[in-house]
Amino acid sequence: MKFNPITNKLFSNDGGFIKKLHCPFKVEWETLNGNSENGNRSCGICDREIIDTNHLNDSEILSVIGDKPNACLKLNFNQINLEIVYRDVLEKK
Amino acid sequence: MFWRRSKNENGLRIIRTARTKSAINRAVRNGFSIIIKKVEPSPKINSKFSIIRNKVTGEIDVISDFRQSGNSEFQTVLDWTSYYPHHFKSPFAAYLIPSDIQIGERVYINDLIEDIVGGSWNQGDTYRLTGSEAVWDGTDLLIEFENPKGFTIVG
Repeated sequence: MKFNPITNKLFSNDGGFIKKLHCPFKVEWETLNGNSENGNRSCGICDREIIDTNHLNDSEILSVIGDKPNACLKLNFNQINLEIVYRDVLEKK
Repeated sequence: MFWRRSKNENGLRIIRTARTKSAINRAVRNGFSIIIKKVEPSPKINSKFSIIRNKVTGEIDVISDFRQSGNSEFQTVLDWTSYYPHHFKSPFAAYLIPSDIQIGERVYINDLIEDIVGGSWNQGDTYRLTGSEAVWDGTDLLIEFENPKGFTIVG
């Protein structure tokens, strides 16, 4: 995955747009209640599930978003499967 | 910003690092044993910069914080660019191991050869850890560092 902290847009490694990360309530991951089975957590304000992307590959994340378009994602800038970029990625045709 | 500064908080014996052939050989002559390692830049460590130019004077400025951009008196001449900010004397280095070190002894390495992320902040920059505690296992130093939380974003 590639993430642009200027636009908050998340892309797959081949340039496919996944999602723009935005939380109007500015919740913090550490304050959320967790599901110990899959590592995901729930937002007590909007009731959405927040998917921890730390151990997911691009196709798994795309599948999750496809199944649950309203799901939120959690990214940690230190996670191994994430690259920080400073311009939006163009999809390779 | 999540940044854990490298400190020898427990007052442990310090393990030195030699970064040139001559320094390593000097240590060997002085009775140290050595653990030679490659100096390998990690793609997980990066800083960013952009170059802006004053529209009136023509002078440039190098900025590293998104909040420094957007000034109407300047134009961007080089957009945000990620780079590896560290440079080392040579592509190898060595930890200098004292002759009286014991297996299981906890020490402090104050000049890490390995690239380990020490912290990050919400603009994407990640920082290299400079020192860490380690344990001598008889053949190598096992670096013991709690991975920093790093900046987390939800949305």
